[in-house]
Amino acid sequence: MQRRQDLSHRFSTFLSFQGDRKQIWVADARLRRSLEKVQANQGFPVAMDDPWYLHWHQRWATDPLAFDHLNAYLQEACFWAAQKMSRHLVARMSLADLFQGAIVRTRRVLKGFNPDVSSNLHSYGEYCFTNLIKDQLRQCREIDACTPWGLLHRVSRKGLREGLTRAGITGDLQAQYLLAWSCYRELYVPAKDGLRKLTKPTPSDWEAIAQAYNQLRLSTLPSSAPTATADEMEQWALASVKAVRRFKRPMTLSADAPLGGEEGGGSYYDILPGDSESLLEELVDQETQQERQGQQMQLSEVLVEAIAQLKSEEQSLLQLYYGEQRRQQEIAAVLGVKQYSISRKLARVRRQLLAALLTWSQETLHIVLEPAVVDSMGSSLEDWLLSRYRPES
Amino acid sequence: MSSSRPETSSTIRSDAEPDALMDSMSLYLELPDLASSGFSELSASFSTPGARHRARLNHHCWQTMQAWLKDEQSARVKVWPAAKALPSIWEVVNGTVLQVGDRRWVLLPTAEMEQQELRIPQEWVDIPDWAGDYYLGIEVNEAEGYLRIWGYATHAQVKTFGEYDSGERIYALDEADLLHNVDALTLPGLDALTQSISSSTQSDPSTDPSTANAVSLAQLPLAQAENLIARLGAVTDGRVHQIFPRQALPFAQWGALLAHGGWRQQMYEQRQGLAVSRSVLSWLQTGVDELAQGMGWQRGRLANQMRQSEDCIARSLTLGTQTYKLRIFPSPLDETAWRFELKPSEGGQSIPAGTSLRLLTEDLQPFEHNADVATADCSQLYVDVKLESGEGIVWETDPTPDDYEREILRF
Repeated sequence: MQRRQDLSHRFSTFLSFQGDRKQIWVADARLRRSLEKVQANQGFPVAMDDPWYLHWHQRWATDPLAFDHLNAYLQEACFWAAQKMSRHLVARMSLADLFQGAIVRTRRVLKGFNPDVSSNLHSYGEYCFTNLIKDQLRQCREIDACTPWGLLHRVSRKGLREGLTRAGITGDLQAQYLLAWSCYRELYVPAKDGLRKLTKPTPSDWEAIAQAYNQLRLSTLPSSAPTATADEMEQWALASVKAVRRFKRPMTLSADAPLGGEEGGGSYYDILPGDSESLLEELVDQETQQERQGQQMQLSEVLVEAIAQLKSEEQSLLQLYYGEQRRQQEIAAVLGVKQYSISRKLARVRRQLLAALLTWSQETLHIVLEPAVVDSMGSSLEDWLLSRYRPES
Repeated sequence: MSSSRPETSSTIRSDAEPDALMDSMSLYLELPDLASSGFSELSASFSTPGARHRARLNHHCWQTMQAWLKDEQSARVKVWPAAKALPSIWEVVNGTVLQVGDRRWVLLPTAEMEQQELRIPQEWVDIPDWAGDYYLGIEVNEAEGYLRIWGYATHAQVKTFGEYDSGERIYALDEADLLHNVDALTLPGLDALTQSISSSTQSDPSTDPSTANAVSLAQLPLAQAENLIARLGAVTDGRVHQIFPRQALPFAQWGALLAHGGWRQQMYEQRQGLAVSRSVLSWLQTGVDELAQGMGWQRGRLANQMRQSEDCIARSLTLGTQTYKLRIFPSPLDETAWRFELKPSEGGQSIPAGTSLRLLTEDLQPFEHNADVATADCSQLYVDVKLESGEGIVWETDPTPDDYEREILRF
């Protein structure tokens, strides 16, 4: 993939996969026009990304065009995250699928990004997409590892509903499947640890499931829903597993996922943002941006100082984890501790840094420390650590 | 725009280290060795395999979380209302409350691999005594031996952003609306900071979303409660009739039944086919049964000035920093009445002024002369009560004892 050199490209083009290895950037004329309009109204410098994405980040939740600009911008972050993760796959495959599985969750990234405390949307995006891809891969691994009967316990209600909908099982029939699934989960469980190896229910298990289903049918389903047999319970269970596997495997994920733009498309406003904005709003925009930059420099100083006060073992933990991106197992080996304690040690170190950050922000920004604020500070800390320790590339 | 769809499979490298896919947002905690984690000692029975599974996940979850919290912060951590009450909760609903300092964390474990939304049973939100300050989504992965805290929400968030599903009786929160940084929850001093905020909102009910759309619970008369318990507790051939009792009644009734520890326990016992009624009379005659021992009761002897000595049943209570004995025996003043007596465990100590002992009918109604309050420091508190055969009684003290769970005693 070629990096997009030109700022106007970064906010108006989408990545398209050509075959297995090649990707090209496809321009969206609508976004290009919108960008020119914002440029004319706001006069943002063309050398810096921040004013642009901050501008759109204020609006994306209600303005589809703003969302599309940010989605275009985040394509690269998502691509790098996908490429980094693709080394965990046997066949060097479906970089496209990893990418698409993650890019459809751009909303998640935008929701998590808090410009008050976070410095850089690109690096935050890469961090966030990496986690989303890991999540997706974990699920794939689980789907491969589980028997159909175990998988029915590992899938969530929402996941099952989505899978069924994709498979064309909707409406009343879907409600019947979901009720049958609830009965299955309550009545058929491994006696001991072993969801992955859970074997097929016996005919009498299916009988019990059907009996519960038929009893609950009356109170839960529309009156038209017929009674069901034990055989039907089994068929529905298998159909559900099939639907989930199809839906969850990355190979099929890309089937209906739109690449650029909003999920589901929809009509775009003809009136572009910027038209109706008052001068006052612009001024506020610029002021807050300057203020933000100043704050971020201070924030950086606070953290550098806090890190200097850590024990040397804690400092090297940060270096290993964030700088060399070593896996927790390797770090455990280097430091001679158990793998699982790494997660806890990291949490402890981060907490110390977070405490320093909070003290500073209370004194300087007079922010009310409610959990949501602390939470976003936590992710901006993560983001800061990642860029601080990132080896120069 | 199109994309390539290569034919190759996406199998994850089998030699990939387990942590290669651990995300850095979540906190991972190692599950204790399953064999030694004490679940088998939790000898409670459950009416469905699903309930047993739920109990196992919850058990792992709170044990692991408690151990971790004790390591990480000095705040007092304890399970709510008491370890012995947990099976009666897990029998019907998912979730466990840890009291961390003065905050209530509702742990919501699942074995699911997907974390698209946090599903919070309505009980943990709308039963006033059950509501939490924080709701934590936790994946329990027994195969790989970890639990993962993947997101959490505050009570206000649940009320504001949670989507209520009336069929399932849950509040669902989209993953994107959750908070993720668990460090923030365990940060020393954060509690004090956030506390002032939440207490200021609590003092103004009109702006507090958690009370704005509160669901009020029904006042269940005794006969109706008995009726409902019989219905939800019905068992034929070792199989419960209602596998999902929490959806079988309107929530106002269900919540009221569940909030009453004695009724919940009774429903739980009936669903296990345990035909037990907690009869003090039979405990005195034939000994305290296992279930009652689990609740802390023992048979004792009473040295009494008026008579030689007499049997009683007794249990220890901790009120604040002092330990007491609560004893029940026939009243020395009236042979037909029972006496409930509260005394410090150690001679020479006294009961501080303001402490009270109170009795209520089974459906929590007060009656004449049902309480004794220490107006000054004193050596004992007692209430005498006349009861019909089979009648139930509930006791309370103020301050509330540690690990208190409302129980119904029958006579």
